[in-house]
Amino acid sequence: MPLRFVFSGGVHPKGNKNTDDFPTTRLDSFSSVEILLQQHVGPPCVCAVKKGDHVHVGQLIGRADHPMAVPIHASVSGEVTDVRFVISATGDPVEAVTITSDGLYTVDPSCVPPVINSREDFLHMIRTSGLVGLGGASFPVHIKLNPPKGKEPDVLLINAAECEPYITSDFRQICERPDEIIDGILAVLQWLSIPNAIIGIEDNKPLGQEVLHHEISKREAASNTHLPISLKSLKTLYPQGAEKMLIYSLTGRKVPPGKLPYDVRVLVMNVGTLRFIGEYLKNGIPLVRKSLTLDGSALNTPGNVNVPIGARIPDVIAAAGGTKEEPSKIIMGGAMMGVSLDRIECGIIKANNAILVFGSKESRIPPESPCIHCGRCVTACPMHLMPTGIDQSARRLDTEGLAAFHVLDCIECGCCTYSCPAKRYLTQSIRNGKTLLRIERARAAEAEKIRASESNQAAGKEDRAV
Amino acid sequence: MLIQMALQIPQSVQNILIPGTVVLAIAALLGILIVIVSHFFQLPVNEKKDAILSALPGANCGGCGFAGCDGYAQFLADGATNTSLCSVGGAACSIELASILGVEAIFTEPKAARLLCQGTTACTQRRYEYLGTLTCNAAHGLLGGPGACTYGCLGYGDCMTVCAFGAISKKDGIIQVDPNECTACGQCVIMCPKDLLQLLPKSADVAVLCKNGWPGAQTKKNCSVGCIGCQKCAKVCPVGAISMTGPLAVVDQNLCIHCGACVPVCPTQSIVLLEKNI
Repeated sequence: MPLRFVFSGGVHPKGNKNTDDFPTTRLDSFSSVEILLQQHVGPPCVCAVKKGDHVHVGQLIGRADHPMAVPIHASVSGEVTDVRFVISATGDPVEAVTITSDGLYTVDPSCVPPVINSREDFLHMIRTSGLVGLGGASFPVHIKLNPPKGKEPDVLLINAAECEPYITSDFRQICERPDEIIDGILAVLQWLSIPNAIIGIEDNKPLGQEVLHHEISKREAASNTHLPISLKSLKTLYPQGAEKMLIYSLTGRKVPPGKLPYDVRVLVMNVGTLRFIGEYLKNGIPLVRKSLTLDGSALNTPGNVNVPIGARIPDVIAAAGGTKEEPSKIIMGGAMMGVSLDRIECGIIKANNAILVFGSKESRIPPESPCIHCGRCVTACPMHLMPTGIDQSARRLDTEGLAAFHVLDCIECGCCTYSCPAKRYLTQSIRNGKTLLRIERARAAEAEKIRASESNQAAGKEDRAV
Repeated sequence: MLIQMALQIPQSVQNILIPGTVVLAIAALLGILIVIVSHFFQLPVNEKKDAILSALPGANCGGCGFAGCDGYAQFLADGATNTSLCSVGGAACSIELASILGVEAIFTEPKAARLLCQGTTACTQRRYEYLGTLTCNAAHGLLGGPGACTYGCLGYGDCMTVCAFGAISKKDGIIQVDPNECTACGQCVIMCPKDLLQLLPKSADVAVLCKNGWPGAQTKKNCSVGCIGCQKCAKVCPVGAISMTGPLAVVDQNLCIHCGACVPVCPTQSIVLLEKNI
């Protein structure tokens, strides 16, 4: 295997892929769902329903007025019983629609398979389907698929690495729906005129590689043509699925600091996103359901489930088998980069790919101790930064030091914190450092403004004197 | 003759005199060298800037918008005329700077930072137990912090660490600003992740000490002293100095006539008379 299918740095957390041979179960027994009206990066949607309305699956409930926004659809059929404000991930209030389900899941008649004739049609179709990046960042896909002129990507990378511990939902989708994935890839290649695609999948998922390989060769045999899709096996290493790492591992290209993948002519999409495109082309039902992994020591029966978006987490846990001990920490997302929840009643969002329910033993946070200068974090950092230096600069509010250590290039993967034998809260400290540097840059810009306004005034006075 | 005289000097004295003369000659030579070197290599002394710098208080707080007193002095020495930017020195400093520069002094109203939150532990609860780094910035990054009100003061004291004047202290789960010690340098204002500190004129009498954006009913559940947007204060104000920005009342300090009519009508005591011990 060539050396470049890996990047330098990274850590090897215990895989804990306990649920990789548990098929995805569809859960429908939810009495009500709570759907947030902001599930993407960008401004929130405008509520399109009111209390007492009857809605069907796939009906629009959040209108996207801003070009960055992505519409939101009802995930169950039933009656809208409440529209209220809840706490969003940033702490700001965001509207949430509560729908009481009638249990019938009747699909809205407007949901028909889309007819696509041009690139614009395709982008419009992506947007109306309510699709956001399903890898976890929830970036609007219609923006990602529309790069500026002259930066059109020449290769599509499919991120099937799934490097986070515990999560197996993408792997299960590969095993269960390879046809939809390939359909999605071919659609994106066709309408964005990208010549070829590379699927990157970690070598701890041989079954996934086998299934995709079989699907590609089956289609090639049936149509007697060569599909421009290749499959590459990546070394199992965290964070192999981070965008910049994946681009480097698969193509050898480096994304410069502050730039985006299209600056190196690459488009990266998650395998789940492509699977949804393939499915949407067939049945026209917007993004209303999500496959996710349920795992953690507090659960009776871990597994993969497919639930309507907005299903409350306690309902999902109860429907999937319940807990054997009082959960002391619930993490939305993976164990390395996920966020622990402040309230358990919140609904599943589009970007969720795992719910980890930990008992008291796994959620223990060890006390912080002084840095012993071992340099393990420096070895582990996949971005080749010095987490220890950034940490020290951030703690003494040294913004020049932060800038010298390139704090803004950190991708917050958590490798430094994972590898630290002194258990220092490095990632959090680095995140603080980023805020500090932004504050300092704003202050410097303000000083520049004062200077500019003063020189304008002086110039004005001279003019008057003349 | 000199040589004859020198020869007449006893040998013991000669032994000291000759090395002494040599050393003096070297010293004179070096002295001349130093004068020459310093003449050609001297740094240009900006007397105006030095005078300005000595007139400034030397707190290096950054309140003027520049990196420190030196930055502001350079700015003024370069021909700027705005003498009012130093909030630490105040009016006296402005007059002194104006006399150095030979321009008219500009005055701004003395200000002090105020915390727009009264959510002490007695008034509000916490949503979750926070176990990370004990700074406001870090806590704010996790779902807006552990407070029930996501707009309220977190009380870990990021503002306290940057305050160079010791005007900020912690009390009852939130921070407290001493308006007497505060010099309105504004470092705490830019540090607060919740944007809760505001520079209000020292003459201000009333202010809405709340900055939340939740609808009234939710605010009532979050905190007992939060502004619920009932608009009673806006209706009672005789000069229309109170306006609503979303669900929150805001006092326009320029229009306020200090009558205090708004204070007794507030159902949650979120609009208050500011204590003045100046």
